[in-house]
Amino acid sequence: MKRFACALVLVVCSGPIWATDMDAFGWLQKITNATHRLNYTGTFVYQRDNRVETSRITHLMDETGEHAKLEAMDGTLREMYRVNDDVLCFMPDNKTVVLDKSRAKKIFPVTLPDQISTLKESYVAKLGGQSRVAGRDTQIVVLEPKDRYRYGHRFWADTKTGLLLRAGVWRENEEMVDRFSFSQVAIGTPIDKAAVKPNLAGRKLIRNEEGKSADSDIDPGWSVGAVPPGFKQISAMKRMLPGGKAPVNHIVFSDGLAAVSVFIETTAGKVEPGLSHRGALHVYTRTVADHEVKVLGEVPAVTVRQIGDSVTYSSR
Amino acid sequence: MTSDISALMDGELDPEEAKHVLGDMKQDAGLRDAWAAYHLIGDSLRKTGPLSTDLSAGFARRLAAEPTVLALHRTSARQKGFPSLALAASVAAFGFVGLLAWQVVKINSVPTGASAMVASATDARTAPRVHLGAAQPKPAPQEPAAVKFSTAAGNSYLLAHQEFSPTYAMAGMPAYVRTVPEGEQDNGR
Repeated sequence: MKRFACALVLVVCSGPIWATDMDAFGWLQKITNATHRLNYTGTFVYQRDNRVETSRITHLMDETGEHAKLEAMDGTLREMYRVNDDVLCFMPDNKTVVLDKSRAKKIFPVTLPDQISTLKESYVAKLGGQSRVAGRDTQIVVLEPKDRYRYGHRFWADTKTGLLLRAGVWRENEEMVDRFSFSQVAIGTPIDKAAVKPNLAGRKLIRNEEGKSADSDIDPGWSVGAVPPGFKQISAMKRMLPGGKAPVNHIVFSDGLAAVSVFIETTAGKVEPGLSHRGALHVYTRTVADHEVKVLGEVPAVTVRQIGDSVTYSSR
Repeated sequence: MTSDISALMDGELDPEEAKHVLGDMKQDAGLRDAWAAYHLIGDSLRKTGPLSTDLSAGFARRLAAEPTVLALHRTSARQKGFPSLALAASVAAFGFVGLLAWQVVKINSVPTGASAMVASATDARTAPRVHLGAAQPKPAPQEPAAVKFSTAAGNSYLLAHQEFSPTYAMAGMPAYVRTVPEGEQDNGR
């Protein structure tokens, strides 16, 4: 009887766990759709390293595509715009604007299915409870990392529309690494297109696409030997960096949620090797065969170090 | 300097650096205040309540109340600032625990399989691999220096990276908040 009861408990428990897993990934898809398809405007706070920054976001989707503006409310004027695949970044000098054309659209379409199978290798997805954020009811979705090479993630999605209202990154000991959270948001209200139009008057626009070399294959001889489990190479190219002067090798690995970039370039000046971080972003720099190797990603220090230390060059 | 304290709290310093920072904290009340303040901020962000600030004070109180030979030292120690010694002791204890954790991470950080080849498969196969013997701990590699983030990761790298991060697909423009360029005056705490 006892054994039967145990089996019954197992059956009863395993059903909902499986369903929850599917529901959680369903919510991630819902979040991704809402992010790019809805009109919204609001204020959010970003917390990291014992700091709090307030920013304003305006997002408009119309027949000409996706338009978004991100504006820092504290400190120097900093604005970023996205018009479909163009990213415009207003530099803190208040004089220049860097234009970057996104190459990633073919890798991350607005739908998730390919990514979900990748995500499942590295994270356990669960539905959390319900909570209120910015005066709206939200569903919490939890992604727990399966190892220490990545952070844990929690998402608070607006129950009605799926819009992501809060997203946090956690270390294994439940310590928050960074988090953004809307304090006020209006969803689905009409948005004046002027609100998402960059004002370039009096500023110099730097494009690195014109008259410069097109993207090409990375230099032969470079290899990354010890990429942590779950991370797959999603891109490798020699390219101009936004506002950059000479092309650099850029290789990207991703586990479906976190990405790690490896930049390899000839040393232009003094290389300062070492490790640093801002919120969830870690960056690790070292020199290999007279080249500067820079590994950058929203992953723990151990991940950027392992990847960086395994970069080798062979002239054969 | 305060960034070193933050790094110490995160267990990111190597033993030499940690010793150095702990030494500085012994001398400098401002640094001890920063230590307490960071923990208070961290605790309030995590909503765990101000545990750490009370801990050192409570520790000092209880240590002071110990009816042992410590009483002999109390008079002279108080003249030299006894509570600060107690604080340094608790800080050292934290540091020690931090170092222990750091050692564990190190031993476990042997590269595991799942190699992704980028350019040449043969190069990586012949590349040296570190193998961890059962009884022989791996010699500790040089810990990387702590460098300033804005120096290490210029805006162009951040922008180039962000466009490939799936966090944009999920969160949209707010994901760029990690990579918005910072003005010089924003770099201070």
